[in-house]
Amino acid sequence: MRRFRHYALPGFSLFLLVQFGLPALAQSGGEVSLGVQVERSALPDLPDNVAARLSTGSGEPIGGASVDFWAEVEILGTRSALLGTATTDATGVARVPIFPRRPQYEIRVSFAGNELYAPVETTTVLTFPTERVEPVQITTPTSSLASLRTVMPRAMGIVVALLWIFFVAAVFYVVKTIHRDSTTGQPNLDNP
Amino acid sequence: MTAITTRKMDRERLRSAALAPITSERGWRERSLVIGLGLIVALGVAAYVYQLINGIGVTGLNDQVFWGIYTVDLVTFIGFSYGGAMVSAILRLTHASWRGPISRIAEGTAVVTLVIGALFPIIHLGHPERVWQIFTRFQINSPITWDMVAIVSYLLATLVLFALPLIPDVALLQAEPELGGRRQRLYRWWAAGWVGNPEQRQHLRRALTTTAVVIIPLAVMVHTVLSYAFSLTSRPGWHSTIFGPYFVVAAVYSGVAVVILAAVAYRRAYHLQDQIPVRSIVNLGYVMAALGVAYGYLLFTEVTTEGYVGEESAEVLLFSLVLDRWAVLFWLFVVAGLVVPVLLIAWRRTRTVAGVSVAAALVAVALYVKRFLMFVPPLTRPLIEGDWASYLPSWVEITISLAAVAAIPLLLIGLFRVFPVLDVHEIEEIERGSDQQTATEEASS
Amino acid sequence: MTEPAPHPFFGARAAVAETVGVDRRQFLFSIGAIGLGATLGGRVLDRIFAADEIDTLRRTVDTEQQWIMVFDLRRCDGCRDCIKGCQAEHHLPESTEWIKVYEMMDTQGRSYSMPVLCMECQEAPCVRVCPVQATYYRPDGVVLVDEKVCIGCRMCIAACPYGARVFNWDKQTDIAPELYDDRPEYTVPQRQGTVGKCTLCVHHLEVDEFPACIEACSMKAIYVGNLVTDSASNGRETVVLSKFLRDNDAFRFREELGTKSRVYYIAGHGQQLDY
Repeated sequence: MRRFRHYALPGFSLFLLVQFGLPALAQSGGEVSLGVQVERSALPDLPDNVAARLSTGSGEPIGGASVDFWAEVEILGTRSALLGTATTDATGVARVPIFPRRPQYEIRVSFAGNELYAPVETTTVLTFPTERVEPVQITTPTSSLASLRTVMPRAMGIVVALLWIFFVAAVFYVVKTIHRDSTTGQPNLDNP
Repeated sequence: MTAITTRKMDRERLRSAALAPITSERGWRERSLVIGLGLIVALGVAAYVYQLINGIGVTGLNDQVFWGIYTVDLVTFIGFSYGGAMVSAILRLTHASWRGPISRIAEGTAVVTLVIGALFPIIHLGHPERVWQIFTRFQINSPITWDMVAIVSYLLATLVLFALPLIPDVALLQAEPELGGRRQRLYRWWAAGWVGNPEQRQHLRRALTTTAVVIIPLAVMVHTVLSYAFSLTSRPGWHSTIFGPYFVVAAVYSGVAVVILAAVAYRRAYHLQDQIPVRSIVNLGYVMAALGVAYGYLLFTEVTTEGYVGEESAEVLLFSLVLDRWAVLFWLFVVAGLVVPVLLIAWRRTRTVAGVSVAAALVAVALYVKRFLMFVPPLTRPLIEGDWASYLPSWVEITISLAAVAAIPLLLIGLFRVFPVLDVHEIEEIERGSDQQTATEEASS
Repeated sequence: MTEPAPHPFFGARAAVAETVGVDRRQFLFSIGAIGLGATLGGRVLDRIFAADEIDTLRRTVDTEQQWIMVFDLRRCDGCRDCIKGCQAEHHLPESTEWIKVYEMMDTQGRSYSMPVLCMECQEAPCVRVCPVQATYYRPDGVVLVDEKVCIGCRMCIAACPYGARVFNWDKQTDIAPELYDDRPEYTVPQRQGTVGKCTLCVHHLEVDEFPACIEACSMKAIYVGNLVTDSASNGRETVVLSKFLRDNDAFRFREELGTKSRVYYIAGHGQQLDY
């Protein structure tokens, strides 16, 4: 009986340790860090990659972990748009491709955590050089004179203006000259 | 009797004939005609007021067929005014000596039909009271703007072409004692001191020739621009390069027809058989027939081009026109508007005043039908998918259209009550020119 | 030869010219010609070349917002809730549809539903042809109609290749007066004799709310997006727009007409109806 009492307390402590302490130890000791950066692509036709490196507190890479990439965007308020999901490789890096349409993206990378590691999340603003960014398809409509659509009505307008001037001038000319060459008061209409 | 005395007698007859509609007594026939036409026009005005109050939903138009017979009326009536351009301008430049007796009627018809036609762009608007904004909020790229500018410009040109040759004839009227004092003042002002001396005749001739030259490109431009409201959209059946020539040729074709009808009507009503010889009418009929052949060629080209490739949108439209829903109207147009008129004029037995008049009447009506077929069937075809739409003009549209038709003779009667129906000066000038030519020929022989 | 009697029209002017000591007809003619020429010529040239300053032709571009829409046809089941939502929002009569749903046939003989509304084109044929500039571009890309200006000529309806515009043939009498609004962004009721069309519910977009059709769509097949922020949302889920369009091979309707539409479609036949 006295022997049981001797083993009970350490046993119970061990039990407590295993139930609560070890996971806590794992959590605190499994300090996970997440670093995000852009990997530029070699060719312009290929996308850049957003790369996230998942590692332990001591810098050890964590492989096989599922990582979500979100873009924090403004569309009728601030919302999160899923850029992609990737699994970390042996070096702890997960990548999703991106064809940037803006010079900056606010990217939130999150790791949901598993039995071994705590969840972690980080938000970074990634910038892209101007030449890398595909321009947005906004066009101002053509209004340069080089466009036929704009030249034609203007040309017609000038012709019509000239015609107006002609017709008015013709009336003035006729009336003026007829009046000038008018002789006696009564029209002499029997002249052959 | 010497040549001079004969000429003087002829001239007297010509002048009194020209003034007959002005000076003659108003018979019961004329009175009842005026009253009847006036009634129809009044009904049309009432219908338009009804439309103004209740909105344009009183028409039979809908979102698929959003342009209907008002647009057909617009193009048709403005097309009728091209008879003036043809007779006064083209025939003048080609020195066609037979144009003299009908030139005043042609110019007058042009003015009247153009004035009526110019009302329709306003009649078919949803908010006609805002139409002035076309000029204050000018959109240079819009076909409707071009329409307005073109119609106003052409109105100016037609009025000039009517007013200038009137100067010598109006001077004639100053001598008539029985006309009222107000009219005398109008004539005196208009005559601008015309006495008929060679210098004045020279000035007028020069001005008329240059005006005739200038009005031709304007006339071509006006109806082409009218066609652009249709052909400058992407709609199948409308987006066709042939619309420009189509409209211009159809305009002159129908314009000449209307001139024939007006000339024959006045010829019969006032017994002007001597002054308007058969030759004038028949030659105009030749012109009309030639234009009919030209229009037939354009039609053939259009149908062939649309039908050969097998493009779905073109095919279904063509099928509906030639074989299906609109086939009756289409073939009616081809037969009554192209084949029969040309045959009537080609065959010597029917190449009479009566035959030419029948041909002209057929042409005028058939071209209305053709324009309807150009505008409405393409709109009935679904733009993306769905059922074909339909369109039935309402009583408002029909009444207003009939009123416009009635307004033509009404306004013509009114016009030729104030101005001479024959261009006396023109006829005399032509005669003088041919006399001088024979004189020089005799002298040189 | 006696002096001719003074012409009733020119007579008075002739007297004026006499006192000036200039040959009166030359004087009259030159004054008339110069005045007329200057006025006409000046006004005409001004109108022709001032056209570039008019807003509808060269508009300013909002660098923060450029609205677009996306229709995911994999999710559209043809229920027409979008039409009902739009009609309720804008108090339209049942016969007026600003968004229409067509049953299209694909190459496999399958039919699929395709909603079509105003494409808010970047090169809009309707804006180009309006004679009174009643329809215009907003800097953020939406095309609106000012029904206080529209003359009802229906030229824009003719020009639109999508059949997106409707005409208000009749008067709406069943709208409560407190709902009345005459902004182009939200015109209630639609004025008789003018043209109406989808406005992308800009009156909602301006306050960060979704357009009525998107709210009404039970399949969440409709997205509104911003080209500048590269994002789109259907109210439930948000996507990176460029990726969404690229990954799903989005297209624009009747692209070959050069309208540069702002409405994109993701091809489908309602295969994702379990969404």
